[in-house]
Amino acid sequence: MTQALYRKWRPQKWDEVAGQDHVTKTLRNAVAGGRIGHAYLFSGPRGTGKTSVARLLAKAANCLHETPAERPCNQCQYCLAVNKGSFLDLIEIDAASNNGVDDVRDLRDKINFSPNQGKYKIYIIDEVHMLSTQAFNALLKTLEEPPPHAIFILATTEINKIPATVLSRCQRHEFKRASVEAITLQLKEIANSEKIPADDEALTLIARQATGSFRDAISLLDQMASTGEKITLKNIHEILGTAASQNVLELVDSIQKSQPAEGLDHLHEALDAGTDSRVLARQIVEYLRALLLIKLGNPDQANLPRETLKQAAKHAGAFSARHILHMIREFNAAATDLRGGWQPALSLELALAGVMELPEEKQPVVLLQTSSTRATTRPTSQATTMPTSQTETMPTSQATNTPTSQATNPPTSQATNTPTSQAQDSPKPVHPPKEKPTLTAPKETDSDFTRLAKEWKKIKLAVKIVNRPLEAALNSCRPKELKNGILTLGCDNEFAMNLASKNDNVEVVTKAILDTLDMDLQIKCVISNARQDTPADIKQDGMVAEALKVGGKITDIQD
Amino acid sequence: MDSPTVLVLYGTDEFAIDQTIRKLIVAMGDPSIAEMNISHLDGHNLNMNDLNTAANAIPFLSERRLVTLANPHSAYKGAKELKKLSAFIETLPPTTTLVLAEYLDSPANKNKSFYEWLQKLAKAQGGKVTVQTQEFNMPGRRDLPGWIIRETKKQAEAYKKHIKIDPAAAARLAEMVGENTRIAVQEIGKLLEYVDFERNVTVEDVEKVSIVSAQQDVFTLVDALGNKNGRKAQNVLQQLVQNEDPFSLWGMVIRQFRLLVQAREVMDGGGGQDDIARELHAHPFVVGKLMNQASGFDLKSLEEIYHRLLELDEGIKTGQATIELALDMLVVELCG
Repeated sequence: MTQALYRKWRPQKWDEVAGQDHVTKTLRNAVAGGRIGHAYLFSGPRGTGKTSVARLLAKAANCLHETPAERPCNQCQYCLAVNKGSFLDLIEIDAASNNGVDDVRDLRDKINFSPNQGKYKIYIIDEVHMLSTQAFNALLKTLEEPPPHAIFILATTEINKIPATVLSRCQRHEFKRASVEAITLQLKEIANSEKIPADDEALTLIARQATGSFRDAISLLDQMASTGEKITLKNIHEILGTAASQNVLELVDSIQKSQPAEGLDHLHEALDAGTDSRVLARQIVEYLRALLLIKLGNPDQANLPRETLKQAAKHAGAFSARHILHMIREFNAAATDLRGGWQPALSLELALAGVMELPEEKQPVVLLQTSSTRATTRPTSQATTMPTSQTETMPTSQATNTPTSQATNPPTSQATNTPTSQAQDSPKPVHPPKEKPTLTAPKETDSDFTRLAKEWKKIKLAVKIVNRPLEAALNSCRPKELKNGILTLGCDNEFAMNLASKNDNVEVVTKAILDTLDMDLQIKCVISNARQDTPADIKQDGMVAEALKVGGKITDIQD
Repeated sequence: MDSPTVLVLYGTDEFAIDQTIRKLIVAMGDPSIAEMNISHLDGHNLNMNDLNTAANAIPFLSERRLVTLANPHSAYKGAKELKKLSAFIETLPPTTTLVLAEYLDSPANKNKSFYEWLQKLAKAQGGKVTVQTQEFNMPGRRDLPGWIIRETKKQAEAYKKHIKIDPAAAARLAEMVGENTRIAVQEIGKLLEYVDFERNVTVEDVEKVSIVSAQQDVFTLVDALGNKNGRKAQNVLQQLVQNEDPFSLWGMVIRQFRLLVQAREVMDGGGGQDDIARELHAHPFVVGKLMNQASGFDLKSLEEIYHRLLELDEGIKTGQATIELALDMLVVELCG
């Protein structure tokens, strides 16, 4: 049987350890100066060289080379024995399977015997975080004062599971994730020596896929090499199943061009090829996330192959950050949406439809949702909808928009100037709100609604002066529809609706709208599902509303 | 030394107490013989017989016996029990040294019950037995850099090297290790090894070799968010995500903003550094940095961010987004 590449290429000398200079330099100095400590703790992500360095240290401690600085020499009998795995005084313990207090007691009993061959008895305890609490406690005393011939090396990937008492008794070394360059370099060296034909970009992609782990990278190289073919980008994509990314690119392309039909085609192309809908959704989210990173000026973190990066840079330039966020939310919802089970493509299609246009007219709605200063009464139901399709709760746009809207609209409007006392003195609105609108029967245009939505924040401010709790409730409501002089407010929950539809409160809101926008409207409150708005004229607790909530659509209304 | 000696070592710095005991052990001479004349007992699970046997045994091939009793206070709690201990001490053979090591969570003068216990113990002896007490307390946050400088010198001198740690580096290290002298000692040893005892330890060395405290990075992250430096925020975030447990990272981000909201509120109310320190129960040093950072935000936006964090938190915990994605989105929303 051939030895796996990552075992064959385990570093045998300090110089061969890549990317952990801060650790190897310290340990080398300790070996050279004859100042090896009695307890070390190596922590870091998998595949960063913890076990390798532990073995190196074990080897160096017992090496017979005359100059300490040259240890390990890889030539003396002990070094060779360690390399072969036959050195008696190197005891490797897998804490994952020996995690009980009895195992540690056993270790404690045996540790006092002198080493068989070398100068030191070295205990490497791998995955030490798996030890039970009692086992840790049993180890503590030994760890603090082991016999002079013993050295402990603990290795773990999860440092946060190690008790503080153990942490403080070891010299702790943190291994860092290897950079893509370091891994690529290593892969190139291996490919050259092993005579594995491979493209440079292909090796870079392997290095990227490994996310900082040498072992993962070398294993993947091993796997690719086993086909006997030359390793190219295309091969890797095929084996990793990342091939769908082309479809993702094209999908984003069609969103950019606002071509839903084309987008649907790409979507189905990928799904028909057998990609799981949720996996596809996740790939889309991953790609969109990469766009965000590029947008923020960190293209190197995007983890995209070079040729994709070019196109991604174009995409990143074409979309606004807000649009990308919106898309991420939509597709992320699709990725986590379990209800699409009977029709896997549905949630993706809905998401696609949702992102086709960045809802310009939704932007004002953004303002109203986040402008709350005292949102303590903000219902939790709204919060849960956060990562879904809601653009309404984006502080970004809020942050960018608020200053301007405040600057251009200094609080000169009548409503904001109305002193509180006056409002309290004359609680009855000057304009009787109930009759007037029906008389004038105003013809609203879309722009009326847009204006309303835009100024919603100011309206709320006006309300706040008169009635603070009401304003808080309004934070959970948004204007939904303006029809025949009736403004429908969509409320997130019953509490907000009940409060907002109290007669006195309706009057306050009506007056605020009148003062701010000079529009005289009637107000009607409905509960609206945050995800799928139910049209106002549908009974909220009826069948149709329910159907809409689970994703139905109204296509035709017959009386 | 022909009278029994009782040594009471107490305080918050368990490391220093242990070191003192270690010195006593070394002073016993040849380890193989000394071992037979040393007993370690713990008050948490003390058996009176054991203590009796250990303390009253005759030293073997040596002049003295050393008996250490950790956490004596938990074995002798009430006045009655204490009397027993006093009586026991009076019967100690002259060849025995009894070390009582009491590890405290707060300095002795704050730990009333222990203090009273100690005074009573001293009083009850009536001069028959020599009772010595020695207090060891953790260096406070302010004193830690100085402590680190002294400890570095000490460790270097143990190898007959005369190198130092730069004051700035000591301050940085103090920030990293917090109030934990054991970890500080380990880190100093590692740093000295890194520079091979050849040159002074600098800030760069500390940052390269010592364990990075994530809290510091979270601070930098929030700083970058305040300055709307999306690129930097993203960079720091990426590093944090790679090295930290996501949930604890998320908790730290939330904590930072909560502190900022609180600090900002006090500042807006006209409060100064001391007021914030009092309200938040935080160290003035931390508060100073906090104030700096809080001045980059106004209360309203901080509150909004905090509410937004709650929303993201629910999203994370209901499986609607991963922590990484949520943090990414937060960065873009604040800096995009």
